[in-house]
Amino acid sequence: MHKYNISLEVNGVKYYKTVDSRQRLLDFIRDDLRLTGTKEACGEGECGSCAIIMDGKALNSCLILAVEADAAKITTIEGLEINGELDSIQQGFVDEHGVQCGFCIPGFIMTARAALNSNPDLKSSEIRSVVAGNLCRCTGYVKIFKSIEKALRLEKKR
Amino acid sequence: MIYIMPIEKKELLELVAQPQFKKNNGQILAGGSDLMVKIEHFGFKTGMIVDAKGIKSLRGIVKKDNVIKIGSLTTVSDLLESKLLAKNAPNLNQAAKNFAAVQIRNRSTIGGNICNASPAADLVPPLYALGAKLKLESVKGIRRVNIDKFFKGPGKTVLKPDEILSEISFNALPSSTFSRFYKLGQRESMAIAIVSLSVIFNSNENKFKDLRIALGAVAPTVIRAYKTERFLEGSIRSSELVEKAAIIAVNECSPITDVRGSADYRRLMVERLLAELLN
Repeated sequence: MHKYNISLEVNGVKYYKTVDSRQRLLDFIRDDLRLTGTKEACGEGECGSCAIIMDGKALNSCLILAVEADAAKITTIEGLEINGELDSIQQGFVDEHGVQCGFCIPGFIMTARAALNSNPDLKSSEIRSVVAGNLCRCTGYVKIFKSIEKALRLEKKR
Repeated sequence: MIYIMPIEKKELLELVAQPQFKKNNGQILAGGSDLMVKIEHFGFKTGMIVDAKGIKSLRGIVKKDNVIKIGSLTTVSDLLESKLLAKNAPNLNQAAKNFAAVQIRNRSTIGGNICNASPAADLVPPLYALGAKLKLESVKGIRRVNIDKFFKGPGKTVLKPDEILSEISFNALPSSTFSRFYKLGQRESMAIAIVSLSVIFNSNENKFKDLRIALGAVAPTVIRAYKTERFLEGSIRSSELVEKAAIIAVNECSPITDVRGSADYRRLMVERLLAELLN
């Protein structure tokens, strides 16, 4: 067992933790920080359910070791809501009823959020390619695309 | 599992030269999209991870004297966003666009895609067509290898245990040169290639000039279709000729049947897709 000390910021909170070198960032987020909004489905980078935003980029947390996140700045689904007000992408999913079983939705929201952060002029025609790495096994893609489209409109009003 | 993150290239080279690295079946970690899956899902055992991502000098794309140089830790997103590549190596830019999806592109590196040595690696056919050179470094020195001499088979390369791939370089293509990458997969994103192709050529009075054809996922390594290239070089472009050439290319392939497609299907797709790309 090799333990390493890491310090990182998650959803604006600074953490100093000791992690095992084999621990994945996904498990660190879920088990150590108890932030269980980030989901594991495939565990091999195919489905995007574990997507988080790390240093501004959407990444699959199942393919990252916790030690690799030393000094990183991370946002998870729990970090989007501010003072009880939903993020525009979350609100888009509520308004358009974009959620079925819900398991994949945090990953979709984080991926869309990262894309919108890096390109505030994101077009609705680009949504499909943005979330191409996210799978929904309820196959509710049409509602998901509509939810993100709505979010683009909500974002413009804010 | 020991985890070390060097911040200088010299430090990295010294680490991988240590007997401890070999003894622990040490692995260099770049983007992790292949290595993490091997460890988590295929029971791959390693006692030492050397995380190369701290070495900033190995990331970036530059053009100097008409040569494009790409650091091995350059991510696929970096390739996709590079105006330099869009202009000087459109086929590589296209492959970056077809590569997995944004979460993987943000992390995966060109060096990792090459060193993982998959015959279906997306970035490799364009690099074969570009005639890319690989810079391999160790504490003992530097050597340069043409990319078509780098692979020995699926997952196997000429890289020695104490060597790293540090840079990929090739001549910038003039804007008059035609270059394409095409991947046939189950879907547009996140698909492993059933067949992939990259072609580069100039057209001189409608004759093929400097034609280079690379084929992926149809042999133990990506291959150059040298016989096909020689057959077409200097000839006038016509659909009959290109269709004949595509059959030569099929005979240069040695595909296998696997979960993604049968050998026969792969041969048929090489024939159809190559004719389409050259027409």
